[in-house]
Amino acid sequence: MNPLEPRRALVREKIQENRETYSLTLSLADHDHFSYRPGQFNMLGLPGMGEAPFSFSSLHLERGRFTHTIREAGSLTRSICQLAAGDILSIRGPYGNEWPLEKAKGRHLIIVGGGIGIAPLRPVIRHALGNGEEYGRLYFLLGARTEDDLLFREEFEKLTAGRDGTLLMTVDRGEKKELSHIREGLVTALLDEIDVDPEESITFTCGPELMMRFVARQLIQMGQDPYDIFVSMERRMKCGIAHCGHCQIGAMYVCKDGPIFPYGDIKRFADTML
Amino acid sequence: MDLSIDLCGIKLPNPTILASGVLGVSRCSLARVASCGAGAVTTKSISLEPRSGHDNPCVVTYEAGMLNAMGYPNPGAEAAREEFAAVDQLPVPVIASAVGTEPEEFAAVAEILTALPFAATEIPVSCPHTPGFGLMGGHASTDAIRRITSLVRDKTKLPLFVKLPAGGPEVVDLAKAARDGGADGITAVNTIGPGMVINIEAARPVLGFKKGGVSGPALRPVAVRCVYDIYEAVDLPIIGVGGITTGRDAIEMMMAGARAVGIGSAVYYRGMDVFSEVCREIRTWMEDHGYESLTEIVGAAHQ
Repeated sequence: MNPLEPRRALVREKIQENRETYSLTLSLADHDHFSYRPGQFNMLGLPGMGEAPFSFSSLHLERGRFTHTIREAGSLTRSICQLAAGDILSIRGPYGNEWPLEKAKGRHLIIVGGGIGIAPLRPVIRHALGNGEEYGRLYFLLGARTEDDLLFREEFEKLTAGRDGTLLMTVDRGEKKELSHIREGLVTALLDEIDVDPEESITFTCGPELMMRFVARQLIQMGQDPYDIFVSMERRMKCGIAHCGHCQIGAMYVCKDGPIFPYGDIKRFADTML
Repeated sequence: MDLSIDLCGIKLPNPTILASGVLGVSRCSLARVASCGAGAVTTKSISLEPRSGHDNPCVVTYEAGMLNAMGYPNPGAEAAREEFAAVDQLPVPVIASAVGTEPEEFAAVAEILTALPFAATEIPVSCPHTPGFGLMGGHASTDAIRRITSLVRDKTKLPLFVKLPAGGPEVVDLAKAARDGGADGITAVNTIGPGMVINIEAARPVLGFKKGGVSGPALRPVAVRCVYDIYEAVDLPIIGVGGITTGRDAIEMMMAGARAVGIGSAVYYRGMDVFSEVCREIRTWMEDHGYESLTEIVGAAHQ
């Protein structure tokens, strides 16, 4: 298979997650082989509108189907979000590396997501809850602008009910302040709730770079190793295979060396907010 | 075996050069390529103003090569001034690629870049897939090349290479025009075409720009012939570019007359270590065939 040649993906299902975010479940239109790992991404495109990278929000293939959760941010994402079941878009990938779930085994897992950055963490949350015996304590700390922006909130509430995982959420502007697990404020405030030794924990985070910066700095202050904090980065991409060099951060290419990096490797570069 | 060469007074530890357009956006990226064994590296082409380039997809491969239509995405000359301020800290020489739509823009960019610690300047007059530039900007005629080269010549003290398009017999006249304009060397050749690849299931061209410059193995024999012709016609050092993937390819290009070889698409085929690999293959071949120096190889096919 030519890793650069776009294939055709068929929209199987579309779910509106909130006023500007949609989950599109896709399958390849031409019965090609496809497999991926959580953390990787596809380049999705429409003819004449270009392409952009999107992480998987599904855990694994189900009957050949996988899901991307997309926020309307520009003309391409608006057009993709307007597609309906049966429509076709172009797809290249999967590209990039995966969340280091193996490395997390036997340790406490801290997951911190912000806004649309919750979507790439959803497969990790689902995996961890389905394989709880492989990890220590599970913390899912999610933040968003409003309650409506807390992606997959009901799903996560159901999945964590009666389980060991601790689900805590914050919103910038609260509507129902009495809800004990949704607070007003910043997601970093939730890090104070962690009552496990950060040295025995591993953190996966995805969200605005500024959020990831404060999350990582606070965790390091709490004693976590910068190489046990994994951040998922996003850059405008051209080729997707570390050939053109347009998504570089320092000497690393987000498309191939990433999108997931140990914070320790990436924090010193001026071209990030980390 | 010593593979070091002299290119217009620039010392290169070996003759492999990262061609412009690949992995050349930042100083750190160039440093990574240098650490993979390149003898010199070339920046992504820099224009006066920032450019976002063509819509994706920008690159696609087919069975005999690669097509790209990047459209000169780059942060512009002012940003380059900061990005490449300490470019002389790299272990190998760095060549700045300066591009423009008008001859005066080439010169303005070259003037900004000449203040930076680059080893040389290269001006492409030959891009086949960007409106206003190269073949789509009317730059590839003898008159245009002479004018652009001489305007840039006035603004830069760095050794100046003109990157020519692949062509028929007229490529010799283009090389002479570059020489007459004051070039110190010739880079030959740019991608050819433009070509097109159509996704037949989607019934649409694959590339966002629809058309793109063809590189890789399909281009190599054309590039070798252009270098061969230019070597006979013009007494300037030549950087031979076009489909070089192995040490044998590099030796072939040098026998045609290239003093150094540009490598671009082969980074896709063989990874970033292609530079050290090609050098290793050159050494092995030279030892096996009784050559002791690259000077015996450059132009050896002209007998």
